[in-house]
Amino acid sequence: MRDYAIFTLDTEGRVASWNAAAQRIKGWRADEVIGRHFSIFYPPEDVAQGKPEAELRRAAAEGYAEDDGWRMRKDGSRFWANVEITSLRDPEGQLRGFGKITCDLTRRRHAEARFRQLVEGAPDALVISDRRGRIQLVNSQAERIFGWTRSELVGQPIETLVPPRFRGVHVGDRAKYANAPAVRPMGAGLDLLAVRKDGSEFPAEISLSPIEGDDGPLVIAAVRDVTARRTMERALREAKDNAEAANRELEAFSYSVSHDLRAPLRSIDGFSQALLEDYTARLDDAGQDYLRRVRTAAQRMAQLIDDLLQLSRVSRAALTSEPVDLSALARSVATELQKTRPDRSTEFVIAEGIATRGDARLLRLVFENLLGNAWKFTARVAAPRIEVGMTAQDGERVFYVRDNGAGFDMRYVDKLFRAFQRLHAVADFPGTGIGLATVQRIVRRHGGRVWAEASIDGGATFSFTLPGPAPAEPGATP
Amino acid sequence: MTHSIAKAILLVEDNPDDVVLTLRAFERNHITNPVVHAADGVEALDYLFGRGRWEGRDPADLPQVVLLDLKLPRVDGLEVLRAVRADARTHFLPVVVLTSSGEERDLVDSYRLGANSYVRKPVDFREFVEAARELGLYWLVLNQAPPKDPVVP
Repeated sequence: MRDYAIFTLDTEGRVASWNAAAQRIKGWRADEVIGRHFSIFYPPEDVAQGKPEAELRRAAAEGYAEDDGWRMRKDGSRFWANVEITSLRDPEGQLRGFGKITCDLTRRRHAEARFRQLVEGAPDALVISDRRGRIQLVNSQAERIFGWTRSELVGQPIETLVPPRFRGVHVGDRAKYANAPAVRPMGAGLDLLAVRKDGSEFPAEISLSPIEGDDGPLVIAAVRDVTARRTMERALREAKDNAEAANRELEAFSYSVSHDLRAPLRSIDGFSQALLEDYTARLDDAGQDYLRRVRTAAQRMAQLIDDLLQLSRVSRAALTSEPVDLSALARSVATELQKTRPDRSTEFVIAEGIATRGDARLLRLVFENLLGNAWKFTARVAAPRIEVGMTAQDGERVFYVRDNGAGFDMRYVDKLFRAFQRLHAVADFPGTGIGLATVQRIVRRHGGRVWAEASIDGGATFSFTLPGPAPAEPGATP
Repeated sequence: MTHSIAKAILLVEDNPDDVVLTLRAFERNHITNPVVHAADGVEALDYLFGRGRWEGRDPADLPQVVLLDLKLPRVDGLEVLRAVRADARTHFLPVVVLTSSGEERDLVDSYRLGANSYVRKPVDFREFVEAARELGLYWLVLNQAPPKDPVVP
């Protein structure tokens, strides 16, 4: 509840009466203050300018004077006051003195200052309008994004900021909002546009909240220019469309390669074989050797095509995510490899209980390639050993396939994962150079990394990470 | 021992080289069934249903097996398969898809439309001869053909 100091002045401005609230607000007791000129309530700078007398003259002339300003208490401290001075006249119209009501508005002034700071400091443009849609207050962000100055906007209809073609609708919408005010985004689900002083428009996101003002309800509109976001969204959409189109083209291309590119190879191989079978008598050793070379080349090209298709399939296929028992997967691939050469004795050491989440089919390809390589490059060592395991490194799970085979020169490690790059002659170790590129693509699509360490004749270790639960620290209790 | 005339193999293949190589692979395996060659899906369906060039042929005289390529001019292999499965007269006809492609989508489509088997033609001719041998053994010798006038549900 507000406290009003109520007192009277004589025609000269001397205090004539004093109430208790006046004592509470100003600190003077009645016996101290009665008879003193009311200019003691004003700060010295106002007194120097003759403000107390000016107000009395105004009240005398107009019957009433109101002022908001600093006033002084007895102890010299200041407070923000609302002061009303009314002239008192007798029935003959003779001036008899003045009635004065003073109210301490310091707290309210602080609240208003905080409110203004809040409005100014808001990251969005704020536009406050009254029930008639007149702009009451804007912040500097609003000046910036709309291109109008504060003084130009205040008093204007809020529709000034709405593109002309939407203004009619906006007036109606505004009335509806006034009937059911609530904090909510404006035009939910719609792409809103706002207009700048220069007539240019921009996409905006607007949220509305009602507040109670001194003269009735007000609406705060927080406006955000979302041009940059819309541009980014469009760019993202386009990139996605392009990627999808590229994927569809790759799909069509792969389909054609799969069907059409192999057919001529079948003819080359088949008719070379027919020549070798039906015309042996008419071909000398060189002729037969040439035909065998033709067949080898055709089959190698077929293998290249198949590997390339697999590489492209690895990129095209949608990635699934399911629990995968990598230990079981590696064992199964190892068994398959052993079936291809039952005469070979190779020691497989596969750690138990390695599991992750990922695309089981693609992860199988990873092991088919890595174990296939290890198998291939250990063909010539005395006691081939291939190891599959997992370690923790810097909080990441690192899976590895290690062999004691031919290895390679680390100088060329950069070439290893590129398609068609081979570090060994085909005559020594067969292959198309696509396997590791496939591995890398699969691991990357899972969000992991792959790398290799090796030395010539010292074996090779291929390691990869797959995002997943952080590995338990050794000795840590779950 | 009396021999009925061996039933035909319908080879649906547009690549003439593949036709020659397939016939050669049959020959290598002593497969003596008559081979009817259709160069595209239209010819294959004309043969099966006694239409067009095959007007007057008895559709009840089904081939032992159809070897069906997928990528064919005019009407492709999958459409042939669909038509064969949709018609009561050929509903149970054994169809082996014999094609270049190993694309998953071809495999899935073929089986979904009711292919009995899917064989990818190997580039290595010796493997192809082996595949033809196994196909012949299975579909011409081991496999029991469906009854003549099956009651189609």
